[in-house]
Amino acid sequence: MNRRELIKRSAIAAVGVGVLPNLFMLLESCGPERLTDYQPIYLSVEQFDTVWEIAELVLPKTDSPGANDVGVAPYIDLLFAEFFEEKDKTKYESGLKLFMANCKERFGNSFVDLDETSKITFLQDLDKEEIDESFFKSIKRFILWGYFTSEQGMKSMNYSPVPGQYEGCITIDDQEKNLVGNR
Amino acid sequence: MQTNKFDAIVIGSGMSGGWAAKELTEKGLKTLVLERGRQVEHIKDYPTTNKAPWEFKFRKELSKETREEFHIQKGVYAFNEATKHFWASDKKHPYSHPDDKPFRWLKAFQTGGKSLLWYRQSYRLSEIDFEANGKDGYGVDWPVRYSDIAPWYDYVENYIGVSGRNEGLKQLPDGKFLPPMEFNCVEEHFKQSIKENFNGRVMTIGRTAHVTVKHNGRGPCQHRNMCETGCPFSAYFSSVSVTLPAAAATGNMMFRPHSIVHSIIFDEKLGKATGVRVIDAQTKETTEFYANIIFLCASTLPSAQIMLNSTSASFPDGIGNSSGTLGHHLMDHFSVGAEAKVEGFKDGYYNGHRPNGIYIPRFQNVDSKHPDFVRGFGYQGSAKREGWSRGTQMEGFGPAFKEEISKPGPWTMEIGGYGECLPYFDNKVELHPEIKDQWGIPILHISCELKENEHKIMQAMSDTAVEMLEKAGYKDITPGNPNDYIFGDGIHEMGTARMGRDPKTSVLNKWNACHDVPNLFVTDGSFMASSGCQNPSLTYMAFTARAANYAVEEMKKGKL
Repeated sequence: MNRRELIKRSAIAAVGVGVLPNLFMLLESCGPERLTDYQPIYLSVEQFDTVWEIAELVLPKTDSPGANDVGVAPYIDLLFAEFFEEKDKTKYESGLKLFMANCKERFGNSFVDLDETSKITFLQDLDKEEIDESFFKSIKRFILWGYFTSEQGMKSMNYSPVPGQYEGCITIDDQEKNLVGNR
Repeated sequence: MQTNKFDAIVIGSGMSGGWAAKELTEKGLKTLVLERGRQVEHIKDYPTTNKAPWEFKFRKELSKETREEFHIQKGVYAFNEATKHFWASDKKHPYSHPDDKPFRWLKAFQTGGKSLLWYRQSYRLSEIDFEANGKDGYGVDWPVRYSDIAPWYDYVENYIGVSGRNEGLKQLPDGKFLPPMEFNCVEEHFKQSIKENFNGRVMTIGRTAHVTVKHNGRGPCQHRNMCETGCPFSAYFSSVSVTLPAAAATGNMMFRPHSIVHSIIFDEKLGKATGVRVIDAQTKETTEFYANIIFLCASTLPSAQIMLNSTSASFPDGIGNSSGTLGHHLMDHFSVGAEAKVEGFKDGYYNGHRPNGIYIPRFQNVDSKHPDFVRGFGYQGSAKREGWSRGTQMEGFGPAFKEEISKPGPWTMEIGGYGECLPYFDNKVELHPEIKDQWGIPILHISCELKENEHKIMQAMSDTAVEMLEKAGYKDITPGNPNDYIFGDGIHEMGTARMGRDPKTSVLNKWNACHDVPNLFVTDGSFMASSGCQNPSLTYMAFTARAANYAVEEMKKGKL
């Protein structure tokens, strides 16, 4: 999606709620351009972009690839489309909607449009919640799963599909990565 | 020339059937091997064995379709998108059980059966096990003793390759082992702790049917731990990789897949089994095949099904069932354990994915008598360092979090007991009076429960697991839930055509032949007169080889 489409879509959304802002205001409010042109198969674009942002904050690009270098957000979109049971899908989707609504209520802005500090503050507060099956805990689980089972994610660790020998007790230093294979 | 007449028929091509096929064909018998499922050829038919998680749509997790089609099988540790083609569809192969007695029937209906999927632990039964029924009165006395089967354990171990360590224990006889696999750092610590804190208790490395060095042209094991997808290095034992190719190489085997045995044909005049009725799984046509001897190796529950469905004037309740015990005394190994966090060992790790764990052989009712229960239990388990998935339970996100969970986490040690189940008459399998499968064969109705002795063992297994982990100084010990076990979960179902000395109380004699039908041999788990607490496959193989050699000898003497 290019910037023009983004504007068009926002304009339609605005019409939908009965307000027609001028173009300047619209540009201000819709924040930065989408960081991906991926068209989600299940999630709405706004939902998808939110997942995208969360994924990159949970597992950012460092000296190893970030969540969005390895396609975590599209993977989560696929999980919604084909993997989750109906009742789980409803739960996660309403969790995502609530996440987006709560963010707007607290910061007066969409999650994707927040500055980095506010995004992190918002996620940190959710992360500390003592709720077993909170939305953030669930989405974090899917982000980790999508990342660490991807090719680049696995190869960012000690990926050893055919080790040959087994050595039961070796000495490692604090730079050693997880040993992973194809099982 | 196409013929329906053979020297021998083997029903089933798994753990036992493969051995029957190998032994009979190597002795020169023209042998028909009937497999109800599809053909699986070694290596060629292992489509997922070199696949990485990211090559699966959901990274090996089960799709909705898979979850639906395999709604029972999906609960097994070895079931995932990379192995599902080796498990039987629950939709296509229904069975029933009373509502208050759940039973989980885990099954593999293709060439090789569960020998492709097993956990490969290989332990001998001991004299204590063979004497147990006779001594404490539960079940009928085994008509064999350890010395009868010991040479056959040697024979099977030498052929298939079992890695392990001899410990000189009377409750777990030594064997013919290839070099053992290693403990990891924490397991070594746990072993020392057990030695110091529990007099006479031993921890050893799992004895497993993996060739740790090159053996009979196979292996060695590459420590991928991908076994259940089929091994391209032929490093673990399956009938597909070892015994069936040996049988095929003799030129004496005729292998027939998609062949569901409806029943065994009994000749009233001869007083013998003369053949089998086979339904083609695909066309549903029925064909009869004939032979001098028949080896029934369909695995415990299907073998009971075939025998119960083989009715005649002499055997209105199933072939070989004059005792009325056929289908009864079904046993399984039940399990509970505990896990703990292990502090320290931060600079210790392992290299390679060991397809094996530790073993703590039975220590109860060996030299002294336990006040609460008869028989006993052993433990399996392993220590490992947590990986990235611990991050799902941790607080945090961002660069430091990512860095942390990319590195090995704390150590954990888990152990799970395997308990001996006594043979009870009312733990049984029957033909369903009304429901038939798509081939017109009555489905199985399975009715089993654990009883008082098993519940007491379960409690002791849990308590003792906690105690051993505590003594080792491990933290956050979490005992398992005994109610998680459902009958069948051990995948060690056995005992429905038990052997015994008395034809009035048992189905088979000491050679695995029916008391009533001398040329019908049953050598899968059905024959077990007690369950021991050891993983039983090695015992099935040893008894199969022994029975096959006996059958050939008798045939040569003109007795069969």
